[in-house]
Amino acid sequence: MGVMKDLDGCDDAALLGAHERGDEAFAVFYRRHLDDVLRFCARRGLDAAAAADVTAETFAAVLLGRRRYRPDAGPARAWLLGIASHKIGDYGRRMARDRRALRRLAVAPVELSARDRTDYAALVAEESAALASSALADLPDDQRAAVYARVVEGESYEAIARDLRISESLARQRVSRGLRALRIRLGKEPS
Amino acid sequence: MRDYAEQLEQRLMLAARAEAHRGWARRLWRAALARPVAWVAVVGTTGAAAAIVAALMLTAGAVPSAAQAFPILAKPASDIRVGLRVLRHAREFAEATGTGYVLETSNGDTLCVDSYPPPGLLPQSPNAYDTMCVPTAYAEQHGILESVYWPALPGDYRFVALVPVGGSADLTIGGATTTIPVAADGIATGVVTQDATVSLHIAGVTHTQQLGPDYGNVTSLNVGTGTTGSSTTTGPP
Repeated sequence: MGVMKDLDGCDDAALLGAHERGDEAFAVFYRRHLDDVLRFCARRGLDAAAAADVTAETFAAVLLGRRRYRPDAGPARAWLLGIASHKIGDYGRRMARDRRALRRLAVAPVELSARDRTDYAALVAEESAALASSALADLPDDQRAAVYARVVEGESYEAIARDLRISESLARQRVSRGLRALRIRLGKEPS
Repeated sequence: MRDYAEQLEQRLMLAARAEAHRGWARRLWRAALARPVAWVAVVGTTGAAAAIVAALMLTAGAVPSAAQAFPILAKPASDIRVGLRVLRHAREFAEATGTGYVLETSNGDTLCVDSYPPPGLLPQSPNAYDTMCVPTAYAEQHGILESVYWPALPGDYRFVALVPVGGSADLTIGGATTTIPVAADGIATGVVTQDATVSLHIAGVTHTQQLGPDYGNVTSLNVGTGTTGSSTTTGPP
């Protein structure tokens, strides 16, 4: 336990570069960043099965390539998510599961349980809400107020126009522009 | 994702340990190259597999510490010449289509299972073999499960398992599971031609390995190192 305690205190670069007890160091790195990768997949719109595949393949690739990580090139988390991004790209391009690293390590795919699927759905909802909230906060004040009133509070355009002291057509325009900006920010529409 | 997280961690940890042992084997290989006596074993073999043999040659005086777990180690060990290799402290066993050997280092801390192709299969590679080496303590808890694929036998996916006393093995193909007979010496072996899962059940824990066309010549999930002596099959990464 003493060793594990020490490893828990290590930074990512030390964990990835560990020669002594490298397997335990890798496990600490995995536990530290598993949620990061799953959330990254959720934000990219992957379903549970795809996220499970990409996450497993990402960590397998990290296991194989961890000695190539160079701290001066940036934080390990960014390096990790870069790998995940490539794996998601491969997944999207081929429309097929890429398990090269897993196969090289002879790691069998992990099947998701019902509980896992529920957990992932919650994670997707959480990430979507966080993203939407963040995107909403980034809107110009006038658009944000109009979108919030229309979408979140369910107000009519007439009520929005009255509250904001603008014409109804301008209220429609602000809501429309605000929603389009949100779609762009959330990657649902090209800019 | 707790179930997924735990399972993936367990599998990656085993893979990480296997990776660590591959590194260990590579270091032995480099050490072997520096010592003339090792060349006898090195000729005709490749990579880490030769290093294991070299390490066995450099040691003397077997101390079979794991004989209780593995009945095959209770049999007298002998030095066996196979091609250009001399297997020290080897025990022979019958494979699905040939002969295999269990080797033990002199200090008893490492066990290897060597698998040879059927006689005459690879005339250009008379010293081809496949070997799987793991720490003995690890083998006592997990067994040794080696998958073997000879490209000259396309479609045949072989496995050799060294099962500790009290353990069992089974094979699942297309959802149907059958028991693999474990011989009195602890060896369970067979050949499949489609995707299959081999499972070892040891002390209440199941260790699995998938093999077949979708998985190819894979290194065992629960082994310390997977190396291949053949110049025509997959070697260590």
